[in-house]
Amino acid sequence: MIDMTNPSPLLMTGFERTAFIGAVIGVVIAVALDLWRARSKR
Amino acid sequence: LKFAERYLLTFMRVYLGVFNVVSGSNYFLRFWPQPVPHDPTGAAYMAVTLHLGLFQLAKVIELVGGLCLTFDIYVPFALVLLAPVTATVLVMDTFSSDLAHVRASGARNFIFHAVLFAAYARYYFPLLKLRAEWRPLWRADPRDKAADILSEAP
Repeated sequence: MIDMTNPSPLLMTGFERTAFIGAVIGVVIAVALDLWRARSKR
Repeated sequence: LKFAERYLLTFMRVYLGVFNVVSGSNYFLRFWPQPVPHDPTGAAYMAVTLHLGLFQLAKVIELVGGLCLTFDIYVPFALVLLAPVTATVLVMDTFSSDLAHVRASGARNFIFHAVLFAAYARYYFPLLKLRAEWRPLWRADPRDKAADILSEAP
């Protein structure tokens, strides 16, 4: 659940910013793993 | 296209996972003040669930399920575990809140959850048994016996 009292989305961005950064890091790791696997196959 | 699909699903899985980890751990560690629903029904619902201990249970579920999604462990199980939490958040956020960003947040998490359910759907098909036979924990599984016989066969 996210902040429902404060119209300024400070708390929401805290929850969501963390989730977004985590998801971007997850995708970067997935891309890096794919590239590494492709290189080691050659 | 397969690459895009893979990365998009990874994004959704980790986003939902980290969101739940942060939401669950925030209750215990208080990085930010605990969110309280704006409307009186939502506030009353939260007060009752806190009193009953269900809110705390939901936070533990968020933490466990969120960690599973984040680190790609038991994902089909984690999606089932988190489904009641996501559904509750959808009702509380999207249908009860008057703040646009709160509505969007609940709806987005629900959509991510639904897409992930679809992506892992084939793991759930074996559960759809119209007439399921007993396979109790306290008795040897006939299928295991059959597997043993097959593996011993020359």
